[in-house]
Amino acid sequence: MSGSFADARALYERRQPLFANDMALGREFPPCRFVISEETVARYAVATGCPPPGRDGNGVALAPQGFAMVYGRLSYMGEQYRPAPGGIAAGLSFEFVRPLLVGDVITSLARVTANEERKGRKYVTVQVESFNQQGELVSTMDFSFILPS
Amino acid sequence: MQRPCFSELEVGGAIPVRFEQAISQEMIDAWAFVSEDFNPLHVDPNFGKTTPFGSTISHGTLTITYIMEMMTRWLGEHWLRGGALKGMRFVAPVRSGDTVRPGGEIAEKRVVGDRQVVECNVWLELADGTRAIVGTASAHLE
Repeated sequence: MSGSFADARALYERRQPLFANDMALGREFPPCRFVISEETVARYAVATGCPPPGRDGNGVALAPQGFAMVYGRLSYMGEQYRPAPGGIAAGLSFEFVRPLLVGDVITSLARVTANEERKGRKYVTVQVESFNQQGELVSTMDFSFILPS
Repeated sequence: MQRPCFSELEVGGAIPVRFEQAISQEMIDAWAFVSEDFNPLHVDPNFGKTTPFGSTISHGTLTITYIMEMMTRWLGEHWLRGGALKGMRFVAPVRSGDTVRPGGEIAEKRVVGDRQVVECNVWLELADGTRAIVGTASAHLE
């Protein structure tokens, strides 16, 4: 995402709020593409205060694993949605299958695997599978959150 | 950092990676760009004052990266290839001005087939010891 902070915020506020009723069980989102560029890695380092993780055994630059959180979430939020006010994260799990590399192009597939009511609140779970440009699975994410209806 | 040897790991032992990170609103704003999450709860101090938190709070997606960083520094490729975080919960807010420290302890070690599996309780805590994130992490060592 480029542009000024104010512009980015304004664009974000124009997104459609995502409610539990939008997350029907089984809903599949369009494939979401995320490029782990050198610029993005540099921004990540500034935001987290953590330097990049170095290189793998073949001398290829590794990318921080935290990108799994970024592209995972973008796979269902995309550029269309923002969480409805009052949305709360409830639980999160990851499996890391392969290291992320600078230059990777990640394609994520998100699917709603649960949408249930507990104690008057709607709990939604999204499962995300993410693949690199070779079609190899790099990570999975299961993210549960409470959304207003 | 030298990678741990399975036989030398002790149940109850602490994950031997120590670092802390001061969180600033500038970092939270920078993370908003990285994550494309400009929720006003994170980036609008005036809005933050109107919430039960009384201020903006950091993205949970930012703070959980410190647990991943800790595991990466400890286990290296054993974590990046085959590691897992399970049941991570965001239990307390992290605010601008807070300092966070990831931590963990070895909960279990077992051999499954030809894999040596280590399972840890992991957390991210504030300077006063309050835990902001809790969960478990597992990895297999050869």
